Amino acid sequence: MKHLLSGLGTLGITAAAANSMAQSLAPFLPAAEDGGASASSASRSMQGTGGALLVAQLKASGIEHIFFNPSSGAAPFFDALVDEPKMHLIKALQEGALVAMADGYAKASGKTPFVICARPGFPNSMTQLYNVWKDEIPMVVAVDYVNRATLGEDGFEDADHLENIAHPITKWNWVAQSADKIPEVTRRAFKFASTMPSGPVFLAYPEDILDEEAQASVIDQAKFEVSMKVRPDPDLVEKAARMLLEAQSPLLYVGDEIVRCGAQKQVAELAELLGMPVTRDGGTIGWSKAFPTQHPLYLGTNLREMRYPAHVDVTLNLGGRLAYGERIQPGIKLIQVRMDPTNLARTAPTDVAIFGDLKFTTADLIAALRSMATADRLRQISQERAAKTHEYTTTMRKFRESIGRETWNHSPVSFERLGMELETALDKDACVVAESDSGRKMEDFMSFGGSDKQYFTTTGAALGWGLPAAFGVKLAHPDLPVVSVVGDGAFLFAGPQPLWSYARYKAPVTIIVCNNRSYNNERNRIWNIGGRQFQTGRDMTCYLGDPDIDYAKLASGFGVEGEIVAEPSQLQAALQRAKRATADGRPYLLDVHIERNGIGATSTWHPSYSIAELRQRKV
Amino acid sequence: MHSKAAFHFRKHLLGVCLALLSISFTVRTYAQSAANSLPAGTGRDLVAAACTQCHGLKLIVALRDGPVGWKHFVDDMILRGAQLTPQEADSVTQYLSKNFGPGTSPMQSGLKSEPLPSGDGEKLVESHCALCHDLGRITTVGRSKEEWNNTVSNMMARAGTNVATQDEILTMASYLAAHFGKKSD
Repeated sequence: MKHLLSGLGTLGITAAAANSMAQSLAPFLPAAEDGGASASSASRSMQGTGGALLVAQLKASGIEHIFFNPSSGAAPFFDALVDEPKMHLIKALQEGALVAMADGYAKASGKTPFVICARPGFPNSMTQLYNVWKDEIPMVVAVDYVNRATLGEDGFEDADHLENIAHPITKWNWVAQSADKIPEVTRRAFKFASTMPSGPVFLAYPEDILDEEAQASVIDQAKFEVSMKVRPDPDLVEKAARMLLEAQSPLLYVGDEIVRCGAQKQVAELAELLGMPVTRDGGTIGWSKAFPTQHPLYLGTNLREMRYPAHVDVTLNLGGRLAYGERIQPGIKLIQVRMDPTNLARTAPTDVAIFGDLKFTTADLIAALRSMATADRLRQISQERAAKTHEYTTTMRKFRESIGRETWNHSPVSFERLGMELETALDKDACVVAESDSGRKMEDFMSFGGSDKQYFTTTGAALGWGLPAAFGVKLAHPDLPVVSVVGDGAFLFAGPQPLWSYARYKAPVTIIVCNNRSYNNERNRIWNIGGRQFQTGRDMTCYLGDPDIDYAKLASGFGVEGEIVAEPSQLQAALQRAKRATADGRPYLLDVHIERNGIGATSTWHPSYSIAELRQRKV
Repeated sequence: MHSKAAFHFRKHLLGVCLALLSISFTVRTYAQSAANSLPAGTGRDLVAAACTQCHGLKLIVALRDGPVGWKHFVDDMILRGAQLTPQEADSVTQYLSKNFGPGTSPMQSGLKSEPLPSGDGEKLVESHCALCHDLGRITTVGRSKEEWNNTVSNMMARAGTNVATQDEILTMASYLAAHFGKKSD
């Protein structure tokens, strides 16, 4: 800047004019000339062990929490954390739970978490890493790697190309080659994880380079961030708006990217502007509730041939996965908006495929519609359509409520009643972290989205996510009530060891185990095939009773309070006790005995087999 | 109307009509092909249209259940997203109960069964349980008294009111536990 000003002065330009010109050119001048201030604050040279360099770079990447399970190879990394009191170690006792914790944290905070575990434990993380991958959640997962001098010798904890096992479910994997490269590959990992389509990234740091001294630059992650707030192609927006305007029976399909982009308000405005009925990803697909579930335009799950509204002529997919192309019937025009270009127009033939941030694109669609039609015309279009949908959703809501009331006194507790009791007990700003396939129907009786409760789940369906993920959500939102609702099958896949983390870190979460002693929905799906299990009425695979697990007692072993809720009449009082415990800063577990439902639900028969009876000797 | 505008309007109208025809043809074809695999009767088309959104009809055709049991299934499906109004749901339940209810060609397990041993409850089991499934499902498994009691109570509740008295349910459960109980009992 100084050289530029003196140069302008020699050209006969006044000091004031030269100063003004220099200011306007400032953004385009090299950073080093700008007094060096921003460059020095963003980048600094550092000497230290590879472990210390990693800690410094994580700090520069904005990491406050490190999700970990210890390993001797990463000792220099943990040593360097001794002098970093603002970076907090969050320990899980198994790698799957570790990754699920980080997933819950990422979904609730919008941040990219860092996970580090021992290399032989890394395969444990695969189920939950798969869930992270399915939901496109940014995450960096790292291990200490075999010493380079002995790599490939099939020695201690050595497997050839361990990094490759992560390949199908990570965006990128890399083995750091030297200590001085640790900050650079770490920055790159965060960048790759967070750019769209986002997802998990795997890093391996050989233990010898974590211990080795080196000089390296530690640079703020901000210098490598790429904004994903992409404005859509205006021509495509105009084309889409025209199709929507001309549609006789348009249908809106919503998905998780709306939540990722914070576009909920704009999407509700667009739906109301055209009076469009709204559906969501089908079944277990989708980890959030992108549209208020109590909104009069909200129909629920998208079906192949919607009976209401009949004769859909245009479907607008805003940020949804739309995995099954067959859902879009021939003759229906399809507009898709995704911030993931890989999965945009992946399966279903698409008439208008728009790549862009959901918030910007929805706002632009609204603006285009308003520019094409007068307010009166838009009102005319929306009013009749919205009134019909309102009538339908009101009828169906009352119908569902009447179905729910019929199960009120069922013992064990029905999912319907659990949903109604939770709706009464929970605050409007609560976060519900759910992993219960059979339990999805309780969501019919609860309100999510908009100004109501937040909802988190996982698309991947690899069980064991819910309990640790709720811990991660609470870590991200310590000031919001968090409730974990998990099936007993899911709970048992998770651990119970996540309860240790709840107790150690005093995570005040209400944990509800829906204990129906069965993989209930799995049995329904298996029997639905109509095979021998269905024909003979023999549940060969899914009954979880015998032994009947006491989850409250199990929690007690970890220092977590809890109780059994065996009867529906006990439920509300138990929920209130849980609320008081969490207000006091303690986790609380409810082992709710839940009814099984569907085909073969009553049967507790299971194949009998005893190893003790096989014995010839009583040893 | 200006001739060019009129042409475009007619072209647009024709397009809309063709599109609607194409949609209704597709829907009708799909639903009709599903309906053809079901017995005729009021409610058949609703079953074909609503249930096949998520699953096939194989299980529905193979299963036998009473009116209360079928209602539970239908209610459950509505909570999972099936688009049926209250009146339509009633119609579907009635159709299923009538065509796939007790006494309509019982389910065959393929399990060989000896004749039921004589005893108090034998005739009740024959006259009630065998309405929905063969006796192989009963005679080839062992259940505890509690399990038989739960199973019989559930079956009779699903079959509807007044199908069996509480005494009859207890008699059947006791008979079954005595003859087809668990070793440990």
